[in-house]
Amino acid sequence: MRSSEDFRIAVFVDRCEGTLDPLLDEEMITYISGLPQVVFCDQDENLSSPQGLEKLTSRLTTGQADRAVIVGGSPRVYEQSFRRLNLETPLNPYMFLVANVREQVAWAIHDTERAREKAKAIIAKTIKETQFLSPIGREKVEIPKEALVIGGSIVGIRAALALAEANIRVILLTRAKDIGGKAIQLAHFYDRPDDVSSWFMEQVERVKNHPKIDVKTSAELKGIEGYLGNYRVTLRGPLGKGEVVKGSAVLLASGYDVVPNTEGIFGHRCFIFPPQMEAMLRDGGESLKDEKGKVIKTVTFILDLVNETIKIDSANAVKNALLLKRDHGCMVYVVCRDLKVSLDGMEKQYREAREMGVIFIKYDNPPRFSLVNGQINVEVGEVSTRMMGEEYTVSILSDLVVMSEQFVPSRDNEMLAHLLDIPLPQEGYLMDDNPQFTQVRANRRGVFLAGGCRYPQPLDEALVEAEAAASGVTELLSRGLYEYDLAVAEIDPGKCAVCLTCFRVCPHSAIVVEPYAEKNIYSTGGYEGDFKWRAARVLPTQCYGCGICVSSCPTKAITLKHLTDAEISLQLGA
Amino acid sequence: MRDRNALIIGGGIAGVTVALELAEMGISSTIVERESRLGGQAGVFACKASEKCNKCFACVVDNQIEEVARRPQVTIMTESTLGGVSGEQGRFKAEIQSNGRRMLLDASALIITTGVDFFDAKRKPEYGYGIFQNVITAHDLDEMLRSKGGVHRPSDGGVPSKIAFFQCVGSRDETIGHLWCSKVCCAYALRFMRTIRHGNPEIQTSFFYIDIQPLGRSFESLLQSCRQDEGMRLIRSLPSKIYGQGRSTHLRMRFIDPPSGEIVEEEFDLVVLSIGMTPRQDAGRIANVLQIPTNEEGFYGSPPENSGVFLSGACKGPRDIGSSMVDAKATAQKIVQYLGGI
Repeated sequence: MRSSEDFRIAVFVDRCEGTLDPLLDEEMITYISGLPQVVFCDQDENLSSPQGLEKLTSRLTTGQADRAVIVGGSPRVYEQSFRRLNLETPLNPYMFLVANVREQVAWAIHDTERAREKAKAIIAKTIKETQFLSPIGREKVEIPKEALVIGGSIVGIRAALALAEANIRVILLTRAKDIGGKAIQLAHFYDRPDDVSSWFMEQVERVKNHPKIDVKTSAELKGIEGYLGNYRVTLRGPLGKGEVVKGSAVLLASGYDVVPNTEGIFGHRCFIFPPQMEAMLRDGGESLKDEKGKVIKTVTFILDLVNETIKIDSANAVKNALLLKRDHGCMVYVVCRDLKVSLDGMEKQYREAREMGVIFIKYDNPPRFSLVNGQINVEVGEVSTRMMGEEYTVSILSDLVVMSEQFVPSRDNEMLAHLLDIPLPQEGYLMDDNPQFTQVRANRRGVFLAGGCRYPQPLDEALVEAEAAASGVTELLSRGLYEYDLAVAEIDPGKCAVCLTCFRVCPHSAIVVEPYAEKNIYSTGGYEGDFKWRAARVLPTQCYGCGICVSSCPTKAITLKHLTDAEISLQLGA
Repeated sequence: MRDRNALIIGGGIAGVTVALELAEMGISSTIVERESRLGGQAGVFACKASEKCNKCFACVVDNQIEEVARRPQVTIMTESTLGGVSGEQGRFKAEIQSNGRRMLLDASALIITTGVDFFDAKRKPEYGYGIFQNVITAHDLDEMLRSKGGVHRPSDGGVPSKIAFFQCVGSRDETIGHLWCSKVCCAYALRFMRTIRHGNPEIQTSFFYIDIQPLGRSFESLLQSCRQDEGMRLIRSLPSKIYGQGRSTHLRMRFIDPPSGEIVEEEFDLVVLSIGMTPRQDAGRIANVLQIPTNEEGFYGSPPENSGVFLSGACKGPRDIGSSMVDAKATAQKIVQYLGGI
């Protein structure tokens, strides 16, 4: 490192449109100009404006300074301009520091004297801190326009088609023998007037015949490794030899599972689940008959015993109630805690159903079931019949009772979270990159989520999510290149004790362990030739530069390139 | 490959997100916004965190607006409206009125993200909005939280002791012809209650509803925490009318008490009306200009396929910030497909 005497620091004072005038008066400017190594101190009314930035750039072209300090507002504003937007200045974007005297002084301290004192301290410290700056480069990796979609449900199908139509090659993997998933059993859908089976079949055919989509069925995942631009999935093959498929990004559409409750009375043939109801409505003629050929007259839907905060069951029940009433002349009851109508057009269908004579009953206490002469008696306290503190119970003798299957996280989620090293929260659904509210993106760069693996959602919403996740992939792949700053963590392999702390704490799965260290300070030698020590390594494409690994490394082997320990110590006043 | 520029009508959260997504894919766009600022209805919400983040997405809107202003691929025209459109299928010429001037813009795709209006609570006079000072809309409450940092009674500035939230004001209501659920208001009001109870545990809150509507992934935990909170009553009943009491700050209301089935009267000193979403007043005009179908409710239905016209966000029907953003991303994908892919 050069002696600090050699630095030539340019200072730019941002007056933030006059709001900092009382603080940044003539005396303060004189003070700044007089600080060691400051070669000049410029002022601007609004430094983050295009004009302000232009002036700053031309001032730096003279080459008088080799680093710069901005005195003004929040670093965020300036950093965005310099780093993210590649503002062309003669200095490397990491040769700037910001002294934030707006949020930290002007807005926080009312006493003029104390404010001036603190501002001076912050500015002096920032100027001192510039000694630790060094240029940070930019790298690029090629990203081929190929993606992997995992899950052959209608969500995976929709995502694969959306990607292929945007010119991305897709490999669609499903563990099932054929693509289609659960939704394909639907004969009707609440917001489409016609039979939807043909629409489903058309989607399936389009995927199978699309020149840019390769469908691999019966694909059991064995391993996933790699990073943005180069994800590799190993499939379990016969004889243990697995095929490897590649993609630049991974889109997970693995869906959710359902658990039907058939214990006790619920094992009786009069209790059925939504898929059977769909099948009856699809295959049945004018009058619906049960297994024994008896005509079904009364059907009761029971909602909210499970899946209380999921809209799917309500939507299906209302849709099927309408069909049962209109096409089959059945008497239909829908028993629920809260009817979910928060789907486009559902309130109208709810009304239509009531006008046609479907009876909706709302309960606070769960209904009771008993077997009466081969029918199921559903007893439920209707909340609106309460009077004078008494509740009246309604009895519904039903030929069929449609129960809900409980929606649970897919058993694949655990495997996927493990293979991809992405977090799996307690409730068992895959986690989106929460702090940024990105919803369809996981916190490993290049991994996206859609549909039921996030949480069970109605088909129309899940299909929108499939396309949204596809847009995330398309964005990353659109340039064919991924450019990134090397403002990331870096591990000194010689100091790494392979304790795996960094590997465990990294929230973005950016750390791998590889044999690449030339030496290891904990060893006394004894190895020769081209032997390499195992050490942790940061994958720069995956690193978000958060610094968690740096702070937890017990051997201090990791450095954050754009914010070194020395800088932090100085900021803390050490 | 065709020219690739998109014209986005409406600079709310959906329009801004479409522009950002397109910019990432290398497609430039122009946002035409009627108001003087971007963000639309979602741009004025306050953070609704309690002891933890309640995922209201208010901060995300601020972020997106800040972000879009920095993109060189995005041109922003505020105080501008769409006059008319000529040309077709990927070669549109749109007439824009901007600050009293008229100009013609070429566009290869048109995206309508005009959003919604909020229900005018004065149309339900029985609730006394505009008559009683202490009857406010959820939006007024949002503004109060955002600008003043806390909740108070408009009549005297005091901290209220009992707040009632009325759901479905302007939604699910045949008397005003609104046969739709606005989807967001249950979660919106419950988050309000969490954040108010967190800041002022002495305030008692009541939530009057028809059916509780879930919203998004984290709704179950939100509902759980509300049910566990003893200072929050969830009452399945909608009060019929609000009565004032002379100069008193207190309001009296009648409703059916669900546990007993009896009609009861209770006093509150602040009533918050959860106003629903309605199609924009000028929705019909834009539908005419662009020949987009509208459904019976007045929201937009899908434009013909391959017409080069796309819809996104709440103009298709009520949506919250999160789903509007997901929808905007999906729309961006449809646009890039239409414009020949990447």
